[in-house]
Amino acid sequence: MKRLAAALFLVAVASPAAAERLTIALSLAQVEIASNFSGAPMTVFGVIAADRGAQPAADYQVAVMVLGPTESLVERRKDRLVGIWMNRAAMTIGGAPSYYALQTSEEPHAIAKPDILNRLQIGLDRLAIGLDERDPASGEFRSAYIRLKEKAGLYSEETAVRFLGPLIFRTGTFLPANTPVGRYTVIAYLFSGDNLVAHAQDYFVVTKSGLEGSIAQFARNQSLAYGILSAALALFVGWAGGVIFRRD
Amino acid sequence: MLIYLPIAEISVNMFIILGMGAAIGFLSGLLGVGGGFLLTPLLIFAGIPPVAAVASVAPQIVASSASAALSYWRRNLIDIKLAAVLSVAGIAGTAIGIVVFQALVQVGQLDLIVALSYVLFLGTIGGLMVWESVKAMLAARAGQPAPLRRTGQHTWIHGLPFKMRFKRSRLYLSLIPLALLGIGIGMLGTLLGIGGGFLIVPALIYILRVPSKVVVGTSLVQIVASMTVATVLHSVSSQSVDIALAVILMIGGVIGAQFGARVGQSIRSDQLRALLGLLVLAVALRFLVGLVITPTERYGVTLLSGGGR
Repeated sequence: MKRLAAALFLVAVASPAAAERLTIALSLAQVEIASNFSGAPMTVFGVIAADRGAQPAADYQVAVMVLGPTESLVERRKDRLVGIWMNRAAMTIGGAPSYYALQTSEEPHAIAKPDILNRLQIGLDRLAIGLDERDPASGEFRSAYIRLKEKAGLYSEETAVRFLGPLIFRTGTFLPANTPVGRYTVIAYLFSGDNLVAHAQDYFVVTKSGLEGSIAQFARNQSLAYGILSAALALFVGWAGGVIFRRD
Repeated sequence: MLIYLPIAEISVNMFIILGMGAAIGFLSGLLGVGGGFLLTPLLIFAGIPPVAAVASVAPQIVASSASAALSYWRRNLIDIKLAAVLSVAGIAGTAIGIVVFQALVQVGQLDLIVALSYVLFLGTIGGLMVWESVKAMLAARAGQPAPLRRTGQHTWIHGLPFKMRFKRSRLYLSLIPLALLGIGIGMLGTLLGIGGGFLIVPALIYILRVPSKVVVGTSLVQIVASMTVATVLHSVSSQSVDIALAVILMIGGVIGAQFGARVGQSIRSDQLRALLGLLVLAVALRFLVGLVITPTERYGVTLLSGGGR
């Protein structure tokens, strides 16, 4: 919400003579995680429309961010104690997007002024994750966190926005098999002459579907019944196995 | 074939998990052990989060132990009274184990304690097993009969109070060591994702002098009882029992155990014990290596809240 408010503020202040409108469309409104889910591509299309009478600029640049639901985590670092590696130092990550994919049309520093990039959190270096910055170890924890997320395929940044025509572009990201469930926000920013001139926002939802979704929900909401049923199922399988493969 | 595990929240190849279940089932049929102490590490090494691995192996152990217990029951090889006492203690131990498990997850030290415990227990037991069977094999080669257990041999344990008579085992035993044993095994089982057969069987035979004929069946009943309760408690407290994972393991395990049992009948028991001992040692060593070598990634994250889960 803060991010959106900042964006609106920038739109209102930085471009008093807003002459462009930005519209985006997603290839999927809902991604379902079923038993054979091995990831899904998400394509974002964008159309730039100039207001009547206004002349479209020739230097449009685009940044598209896909943000997963916010989560808080505890990050731990292993250190050696009497020859054994164990979790020692820990820091809390107060609030970070569970998924962050940034696509831009050029390297971020080439599309907007640094203060705009910082305010819109365009780029992994500028992403706020809710770490206590006063802690001297926070820099190391931050880069380790981002490295872990990148390795898991959940954080990425690339110059992957392609203009199909002067006023139309497409880009895409990949939601890996371990992508968190929840509501994802897609925000697209349009820049011209180093300034933000328009933005657009859309949503999609990742859910567990079918049997997997029901099992996960059952385990969470009715944990006692789930446990009793699991135990009963195990006893039944054991009994059935003993009867079917009776050896005596 | 990739299958998404709903609770562990990762995609795994179903046939790899099925194969693991079958391999462990084969070994448990071959060696007459539950196999949890091999299955849980294997799942952890395969990338299943330790919390989910430990919790999901519990129902798998219930299934494999229940089917084995059934066959001992038919052959009347269970001391029911002893099994009942051990089960009650085992269930109490399970409850304690769950509390400890949750506390360790909270402070981020579950993985460490699991690994250290595996090194300690598997190292000791595996070492003893290999040593015993090598001795037995050497004695057999030298033409001497293996030393027999002298029945009626008493230790200080048999002098403890609160005695109870166990007719089937022909024992008059204090409840104190039985309760401690049951609680200890229940707790370890819950914490480490093992049935604990490889700990309770030697303890019953060597310390409490329970006749070896009824030991396995009796301990199986105790394992079924504590692991059934562990399944329920893990589901409630950490919500990490992945029943999809457990069912795949059960199916593999049931099939593998049949072949293992058939092969097991044609191998000598001291060789079997040596084989089991070596396996146990290998797992302990693998955990030790993991603790000692410098990890490629020193950082890790645990979800506190959010993420839409």
